[in-house]
Amino acid sequence: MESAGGSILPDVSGGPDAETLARLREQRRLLRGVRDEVEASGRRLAGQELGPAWRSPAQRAYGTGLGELSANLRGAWRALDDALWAVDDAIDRVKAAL
Amino acid sequence: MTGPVGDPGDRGHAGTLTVSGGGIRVATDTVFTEMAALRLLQGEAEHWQGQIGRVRSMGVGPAPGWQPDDLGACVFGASVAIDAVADRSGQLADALEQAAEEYARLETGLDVVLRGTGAWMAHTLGVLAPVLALAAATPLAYLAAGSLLSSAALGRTPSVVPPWLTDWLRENPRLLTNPATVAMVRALVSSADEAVLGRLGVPYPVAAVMGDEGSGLLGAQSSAFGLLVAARAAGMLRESPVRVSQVGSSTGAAGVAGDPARAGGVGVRPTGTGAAGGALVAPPTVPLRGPATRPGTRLAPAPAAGTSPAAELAPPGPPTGFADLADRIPTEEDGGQVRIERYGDPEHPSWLVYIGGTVEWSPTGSTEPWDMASNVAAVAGQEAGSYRAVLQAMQAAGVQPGDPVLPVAHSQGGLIANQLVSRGDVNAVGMLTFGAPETDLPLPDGLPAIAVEHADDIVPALGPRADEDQRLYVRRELFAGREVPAAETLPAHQLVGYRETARLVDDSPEPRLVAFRAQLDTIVGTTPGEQTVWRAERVD
Repeated sequence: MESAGGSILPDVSGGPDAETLARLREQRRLLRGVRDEVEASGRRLAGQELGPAWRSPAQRAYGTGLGELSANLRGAWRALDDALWAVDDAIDRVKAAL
Repeated sequence: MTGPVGDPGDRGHAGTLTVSGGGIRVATDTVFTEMAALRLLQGEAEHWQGQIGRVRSMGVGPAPGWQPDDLGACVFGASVAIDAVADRSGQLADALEQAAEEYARLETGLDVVLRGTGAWMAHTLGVLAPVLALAAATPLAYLAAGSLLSSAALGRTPSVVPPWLTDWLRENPRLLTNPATVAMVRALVSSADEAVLGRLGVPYPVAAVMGDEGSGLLGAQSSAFGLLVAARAAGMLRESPVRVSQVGSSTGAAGVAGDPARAGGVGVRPTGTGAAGGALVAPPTVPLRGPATRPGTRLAPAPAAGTSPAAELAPPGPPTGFADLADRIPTEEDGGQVRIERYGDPEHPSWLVYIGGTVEWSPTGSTEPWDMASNVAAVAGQEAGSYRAVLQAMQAAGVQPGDPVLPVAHSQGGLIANQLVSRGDVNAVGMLTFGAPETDLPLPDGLPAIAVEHADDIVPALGPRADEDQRLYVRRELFAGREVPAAETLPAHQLVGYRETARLVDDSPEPRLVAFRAQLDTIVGTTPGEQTVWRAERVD
């Protein structure tokens, strides 16, 4: 079990099986969907460039807030991408153990 | 807050809308676009958290055992970042909303200051100079505008404005098409009474209480009424009976309304058109108020004697937004001043009544009911010839008491629309005006009423404003950053500019504008309707 799933599969006591694989695949589907949506939202946000009228300090502060929001989205995307990599890795190991 | 102006060469979607009124918020459509995008992102982030929760519920291992690259650690990191996205997008949207509210407070404060200053200036002018004529500031401004237009468009000699002033204004088109001028005129219009009272020696504090800024005992309506009486004594601004003829139809029927033989159908009273010679018309001609028509009891539009051939029109598709509505307001090219569309089944129809703007700007009159006489009469609270013509056209088209009606109008048509709705002569389910003189006529509570105005259009500023106004004002400076056309008189007032602005309004995510469009969908449905176009004329 340890070699097959590590901490990803802590609840599987009977060893890797088709059910475990299906669960990992569902997790991958969900994570991929969220990651893709985060990516699309990040692109949309990047498209909202502030025009030349956004000049006042308050407007610049708002622009800074948008920049931080974009950074949050990038962070979420990276974490989700890493999670997907971890699930893919786990799936490969489960497949190898079957 | 000022939004970006477009490329001077791009008249398609240049400019920024400012939405105010209705007692809620003021903001540009840029702000509303940002706000809507942030709220969307906030909702998405909350949805993502739900998805992450599902991943966790399937098992990611206990936290103490996580390594940096473990699924549990990565999912936890994503969850934290998504939480931050939800929080920050919500905070930014809240900040924009707060800014809009602050802007509304600022605008209200500035408006109070401007109007107060205008009242004080007018009072001082009244004390210092023989400017009694300022009592008629509103109708005089109409006459001035009318004279300018008639001299510019028709080559007529102005009868109100001195020639040197006409020439000077023509050489300086930016002066009349300027937001600052519009603001000044708006302040002066609301302060005409202070000028009179100042001239009469009434101290300013007392004058302020008595005038528009105070108790509202006097106002543009009474000023216009006074001018109407005086002008009619001099042979100007005379009212007359009107007759309405169908000049276009998608159903093939044609008719004439407005003659005594036509009296029949729902809501008909004595026509009351015997106003020739200048008598002020009091009762409504063809009121459509009253109990709703019971199913199966609807009357068909009565055929009229003397029918004339009407142009065959295509059945109209349901309008989908502000641009469609603005495009259907009739102009001289349509041959009539009123377009009426019917949607829904014959027993449960809904009506869209499009009312055009002023056609004849000369104060001396003609056979055109959409003239200066109607403009001043409408400001004076009287039934103008154009008002009676619209009622007759609706009657002839088959509008019954209780039928849902949405008036859509430009300029003088907006005055008529406000009167129709305020008097309860129609069962209005909404109202949309473009470039209409502002009015203090009260509207039914909760009625969605949208007034689209150009900040550089002087005409909306010519009317009085109510302190408590439920209308939603959508404003845009049409010629911001652009050359004002010198060849046109009052170019920011022209319907073509308002049609351009209507396209911007359609793109606005402002919630009340979105709600208006949604309501329009429910009014007109999805199937093509029927339309008729009506031409009115005075029949002295």
